[in-house]
Amino acid sequence: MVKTWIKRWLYTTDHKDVGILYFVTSFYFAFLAALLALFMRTQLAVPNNKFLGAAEYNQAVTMHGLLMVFWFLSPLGIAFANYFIPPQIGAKDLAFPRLNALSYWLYAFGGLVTFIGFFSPGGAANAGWTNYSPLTSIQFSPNAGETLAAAGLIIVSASVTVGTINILTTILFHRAPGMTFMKMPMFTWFIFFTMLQMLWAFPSLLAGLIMLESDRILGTLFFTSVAGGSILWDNVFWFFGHPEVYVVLLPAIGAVMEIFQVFTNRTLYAKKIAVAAGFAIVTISFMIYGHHMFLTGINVTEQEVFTINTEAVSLPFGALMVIFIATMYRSAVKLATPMFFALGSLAIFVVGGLTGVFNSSLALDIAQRGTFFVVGHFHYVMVGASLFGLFGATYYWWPKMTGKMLSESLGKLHFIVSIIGFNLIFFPMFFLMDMPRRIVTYTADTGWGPLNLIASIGSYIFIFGHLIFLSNLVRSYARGPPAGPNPWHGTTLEWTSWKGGGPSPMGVGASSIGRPLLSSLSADPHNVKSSHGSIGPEIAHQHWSGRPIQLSLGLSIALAGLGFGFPIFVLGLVLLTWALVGWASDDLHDRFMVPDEPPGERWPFQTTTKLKLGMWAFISSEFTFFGVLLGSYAFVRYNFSYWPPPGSIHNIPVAGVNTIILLTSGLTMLLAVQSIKTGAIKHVRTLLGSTLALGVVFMIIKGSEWYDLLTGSPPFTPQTGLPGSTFFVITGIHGAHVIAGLVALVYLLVRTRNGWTPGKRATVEHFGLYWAFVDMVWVFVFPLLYLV
Amino acid sequence: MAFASVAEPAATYQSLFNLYLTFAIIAGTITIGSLILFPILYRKRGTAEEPEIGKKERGNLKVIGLVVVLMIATLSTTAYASFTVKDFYLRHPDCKTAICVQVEAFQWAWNFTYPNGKNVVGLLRVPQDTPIVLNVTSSDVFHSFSIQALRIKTDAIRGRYNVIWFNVPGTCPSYGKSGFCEYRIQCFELCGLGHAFMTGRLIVMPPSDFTNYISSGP
Amino acid sequence: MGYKLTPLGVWGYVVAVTIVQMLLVSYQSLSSSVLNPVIIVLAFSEAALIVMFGLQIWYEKPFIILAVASAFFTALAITLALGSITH
Repeated sequence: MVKTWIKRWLYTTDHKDVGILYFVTSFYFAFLAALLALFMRTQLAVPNNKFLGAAEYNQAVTMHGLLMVFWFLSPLGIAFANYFIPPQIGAKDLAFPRLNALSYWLYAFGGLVTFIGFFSPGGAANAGWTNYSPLTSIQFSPNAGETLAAAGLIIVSASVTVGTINILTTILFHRAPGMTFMKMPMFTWFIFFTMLQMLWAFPSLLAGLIMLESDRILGTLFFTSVAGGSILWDNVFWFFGHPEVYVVLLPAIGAVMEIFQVFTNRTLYAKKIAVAAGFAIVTISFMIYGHHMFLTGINVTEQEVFTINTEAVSLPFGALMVIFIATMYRSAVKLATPMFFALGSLAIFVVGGLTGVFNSSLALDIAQRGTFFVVGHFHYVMVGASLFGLFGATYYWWPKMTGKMLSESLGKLHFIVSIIGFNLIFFPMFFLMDMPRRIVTYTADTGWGPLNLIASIGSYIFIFGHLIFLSNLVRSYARGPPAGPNPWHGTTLEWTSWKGGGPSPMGVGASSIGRPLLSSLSADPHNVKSSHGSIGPEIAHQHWSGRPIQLSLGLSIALAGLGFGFPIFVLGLVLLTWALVGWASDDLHDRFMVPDEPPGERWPFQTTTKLKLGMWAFISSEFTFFGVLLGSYAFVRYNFSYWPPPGSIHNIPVAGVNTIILLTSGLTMLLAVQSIKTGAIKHVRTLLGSTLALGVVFMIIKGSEWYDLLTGSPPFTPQTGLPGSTFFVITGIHGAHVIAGLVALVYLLVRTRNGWTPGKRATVEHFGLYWAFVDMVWVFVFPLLYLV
Repeated sequence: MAFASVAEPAATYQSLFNLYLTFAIIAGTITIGSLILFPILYRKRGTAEEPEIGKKERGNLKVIGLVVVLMIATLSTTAYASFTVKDFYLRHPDCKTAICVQVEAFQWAWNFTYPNGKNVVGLLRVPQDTPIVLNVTSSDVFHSFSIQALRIKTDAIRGRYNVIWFNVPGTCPSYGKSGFCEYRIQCFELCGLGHAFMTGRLIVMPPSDFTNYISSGP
Repeated sequence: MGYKLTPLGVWGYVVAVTIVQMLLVSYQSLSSSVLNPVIIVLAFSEAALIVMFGLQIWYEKPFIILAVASAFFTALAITLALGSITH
């Protein structure tokens, strides 16, 4: 029984289970990060305190930021997204269940890799969650902790990429008949916006992290050179970093919209404008990151553009505030705990947003940059708006997840204690504009003591509020009063899709093992038709897969090996290879069966397939990744006075011939795809084999090219200068993508040796997209690295 | 803040801050006020469940449109004011009228080099009522140089030179050990273990004292 | 047989452009400030064809939304970063 319980939680791919895994794990990391915060506040409570030394404090402030942003707030939003998006849109599960589990395990192990830094010599990462260069270089941060933190973030980027593709495909492709975009609940909409931001923001972080780890381990010069250096990292990191803070915020806003509608008994005022505002926020959020760089010396015109754009992002948020307030107008507001937290979240968000306007000014930032004013601002938006919104979401959706009610009185007490504690911590910070961030201590003559003491007292009160919350959750789960299927009288499908007494079958109950997926949906006010019937227990077992956790473990150990040494790296690679082979073998033998979702609303992608859409989303993310890499190359070249002229280092004719070889492999692949589409499948395997052969030749020539450069006289290596660093890293990553494609080709050839099915034909088409993309990247890499 | 009315660019800064603060307080009061008031005003009365949620979608664009227009007007004003202030910050005098000091940040102190080559760590002495121009860079990691009370700050980045300026009278709120006006210099970007201790002193003295100081050896 | 024309056409173009790009570089007397933009524009033209036909946008037009969005945000990143360099 216990063994089955363990197997269930390790191997599940069911969206509700994965949602619960995310939920529990995110609170676990929150607990760790909150402890770090408590240590920091204790240290800062009085001047010249000795509770933490500088080394410990720097680790605490860094890890607190990393864990809260990447391992708590965002994943908590994803927990709710996992659990509730499928029922909200009338789907059975997410589009790719195993990828969903993969997302979770990558996230969980990534967190461990980062956290383990505390136990490594030199301690955890200590250069701030923003990892500014060159402090993060191996010269100034020789400790393994920084390598491990970057490795953990790489793993999380992989998790997010997979998760983004999954949720986007689900929302675009798995809506039940009748569930048009405008009928989608606001929470689903705002998760959709969040996913769009993640899709194009995280690749920038990944590119930056790869360049950083390459600097630290291979000795490249991306961030240690003056031409690249601090400003390159600033651009690459903050292009990600600014959308990231909205990624943290938007799921909470979406949840608050749901809560508002239920607890005012009204539909959201001007719903279409709210959706438009969401699109505006997604777009504008990528245009404003320079407000983190006002004092770095970038040219004034760009600073002015960033000020205007940053101010502009407050317009959609202002519209949203009007929408919230107008929703309450002439309504019937029920002040239950979820509504308290929703209202609290918005009120705090107003303070956070307004102080953001102060920070948007390229002039005011001169005083505010690097001070506690900024710390106050972002905690108001992140902790206040996001966390309080997510607390509200917890109180709102707990009855559906567990079938139990939370205590209203404990909930209200939690709210009062939290809002008092929170404001005590962070409001004084707006009066600490003279105090720098991230300092371990300060002297009494600065006069910062009293306000810091108030803030620290507030932190203890705030933590006490969380203990109340925790006890509420535990009590309710253990012996809380049972909840009906729709205790709040919500109208979205997760509430109305099950009628009758007792806990919803979606709840975590004793019958969970092998329990059926969503039972049939019955009619609902939105006229969405039911799209599936019951699934028996035997199918649920076919939903288990050990591959996601194996793959995540392998990748995480391998990346941890970057900090712990080559043997660990190899061990991880072995495990990763075994998991990948196992996954491929599972697919070869059709061991993982997911019932197909019948077609519903798929506009505008009605004529395509789910896998093609997923592949396209993946390519979109990769496009940004390579774009940032090549953009970084352009950046350092533009910034560097000397660059070797074309032909002086590289052998252009050889590279040109190699380019033509790769392009020809693109031809054979495209011919294969066209053959599949027109039904002429006789020669497809030959074409696939030719693609493989040409790809192998490409890699062999590339390998010999590298060999000649590395052993030449003088040798041209990643460490000899920026031309070397950029060349080897960019062609190396491209080469890794080619190799991955070649491995996939081998798998395709194996898979199709016994004849063709529609699924196998489709796989060729999907691979064709990937291979065309790899070609396209090279079409830019070749001229940029060899010819200009 | 006593200095605000006399020291530049701090005074200009303060008036900009007050502009933003005024708008923020107005906007904040209205918004947060509504968030508190509306749930009370429109709370559910009675225990009967309403038959169903009002299905009719409400959406008067005019209200939202008005608020957005008001925001655009406000934000344009603040942006324009900010650009003006930034321009003021950037228009620094040249090294003939001002005293140009090279500032080099390193882990974990500040190295000041005067025009005559005199070199001091941690202590910057300047004459009062004279424009001072600082050319700031770093020799190692990313620091940020600030004399916060004067509302000037710039990032100290290796390979880059960022310029800031100020002009201080001799009267001020805080007289230091030197007997003259003193201001605190501090680093505002995490730069390693010594970040919290990367401070310095700005001492503002009468021009004659400064001349004596500057010519008294390396 | 007809279905082979498009792939061959695309292939012919990209190979030809590759050769042209290499010839342009070997033709030393053109200054690089003229040469480089030309080479880059040629590269974009190759990429456009590959995106249209290899990435199937020609055949499944809705994907153009994703293509345009990716290109937009990536171009934004590069422009803003390069714009931040003061020369």
